[in-house]
Amino acid sequence: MGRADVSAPRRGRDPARERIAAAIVEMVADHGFLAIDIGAVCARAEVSRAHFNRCFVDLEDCFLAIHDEAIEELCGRVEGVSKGRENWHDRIWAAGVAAMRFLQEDSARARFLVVSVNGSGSGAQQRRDRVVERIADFLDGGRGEVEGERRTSRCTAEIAAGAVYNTIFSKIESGSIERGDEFLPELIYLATMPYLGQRAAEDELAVQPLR
Amino acid sequence: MADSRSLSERLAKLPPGRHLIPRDFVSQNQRERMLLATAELVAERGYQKTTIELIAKTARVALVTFYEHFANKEECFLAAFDENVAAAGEVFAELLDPEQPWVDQISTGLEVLLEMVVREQARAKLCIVEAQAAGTESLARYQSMLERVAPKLREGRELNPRASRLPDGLEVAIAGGLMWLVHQRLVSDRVDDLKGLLPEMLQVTLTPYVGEVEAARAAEAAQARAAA
Repeated sequence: MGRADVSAPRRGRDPARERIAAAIVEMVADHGFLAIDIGAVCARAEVSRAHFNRCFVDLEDCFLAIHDEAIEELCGRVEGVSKGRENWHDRIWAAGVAAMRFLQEDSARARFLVVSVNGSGSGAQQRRDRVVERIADFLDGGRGEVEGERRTSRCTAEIAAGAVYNTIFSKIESGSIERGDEFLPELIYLATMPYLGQRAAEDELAVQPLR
Repeated sequence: MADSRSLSERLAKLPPGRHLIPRDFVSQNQRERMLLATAELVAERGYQKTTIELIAKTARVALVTFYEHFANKEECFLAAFDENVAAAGEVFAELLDPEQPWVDQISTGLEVLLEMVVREQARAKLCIVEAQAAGTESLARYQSMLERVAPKLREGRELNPRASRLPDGLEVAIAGGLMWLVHQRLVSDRVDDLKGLLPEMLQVTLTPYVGEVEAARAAEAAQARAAA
C-alpha cells in the first residue's frame, strides 16, 4: 500500500493533523478500527476531507502512520533511559518504568497501541509483531546473565516477550493500566525469570518502584 | 486433529441430486466442508482476504447453503476456531495422564502441541495467527484459549513452596509467550524447526514452579527423547 507524503506536515507543526491523530486514537480505542470511517474521523477532528487526503492515503495509512509515530516515541523514551546503563537488569527496570509511564499517560493511546492494533488488518498485525520482536531484542541481552548450562537462545527471549506483551494486553484491555505500579514487578518477573532463575525473579515481585 | 486423507478427499462432495442420505447428515457434511475450507483459505490468504464466495466455492456448496449455516464470514470463522480448539482439547485430554508427575504432563502437553502444529498447519494458523487478527470476538476467544491452559500449569504451584508470591496471571502469560513463539514460526513459515525448540520451551515453562535446575533436567530428558 502507498503512503501519503506525511513528511511535510511533520517539518512544521500541523494542528489539523494532530487533531486527526487524536481523533483516530480515541475512536479506534472506543469502537475498533473496523467500525470507523474517514468521514467520522474528519468530523471528530474538525478537519476537511481534503486535508485528511493531503496527510494520508486512506484510513489504514492514517492508522499505521499514527501507530508508528507513537511507537517511535515510546521506543525513544525506553532507549533514552536505558542507554548508558551497563547492567542488563538495570536496563530492564529503567525500560519497564519508562514504558509504564508512557502507557499510563494516555489510556486511549495505550489501548490504541496494544489492544486495538489486533483485529485492525494485516498491516496493523505486522506492526504488533514488530513491537513484540523489539521487546524480544531487548530481553535477549539477558543471555549474558545466565549461569550454568541452561539452554537459552533467541527462542527464550521470544517466549518472554510474548508473555510480557500478553500481560500488558490483558491489563490494558481490562482497564487496569492505571494500576501499573502493582503489575510492573510482574512484568519484570516475566522478563527476568528465564535468565536470572526462579528465586532471583521472585525477588523482583517485592519491589515497588513507582510508589 | 490429524487426518491422513488428502484435502480433495476431505472436501469430497456428497452425490448430487435426490438420494437417501439423511438430511441431517448432508447438512453436517456441508458444515464440515465449509469449516475445513475456511481453515485452508484463511491459512493461505489471511482472514481479511478470505471471502464467503471463496469459502462456498472451495467447500463445493451453494452460497445459499453457506447462509443457511452462518450469518456471515465472522460467524463461520468463529465456528471453525471453536471446533478446532475443541478437537485439540480432546487430543490433550486423551494423551495427558493426570496420574503422571506434573513435569511429565507438561512435557507431553508441549510435545503434543508442537506435533499438532506441524501436522495441521492450516488449522494452527487459524487458531493461533488469524484468530488474533479477525476482530474483537475472535481475539477474545483466543485469550480464552490461553486461559484454558492455565489450570494445568497452575497445578505446578504445588511444587514451589513460595507459590503464594507468584502473580495471578503467570499461567496465562506463559501460555501467551509459548503461543507467541509458535505464532512467529507459523507466520514466517519456519514450522519445521519448531519441534527442536521443545527443550527450551519446557525450560522456560517449568522454571517458575520447579526452579531452573530441575527445569533444565526435564529439558535435557525431552531432548534425549527427541533424539531417540
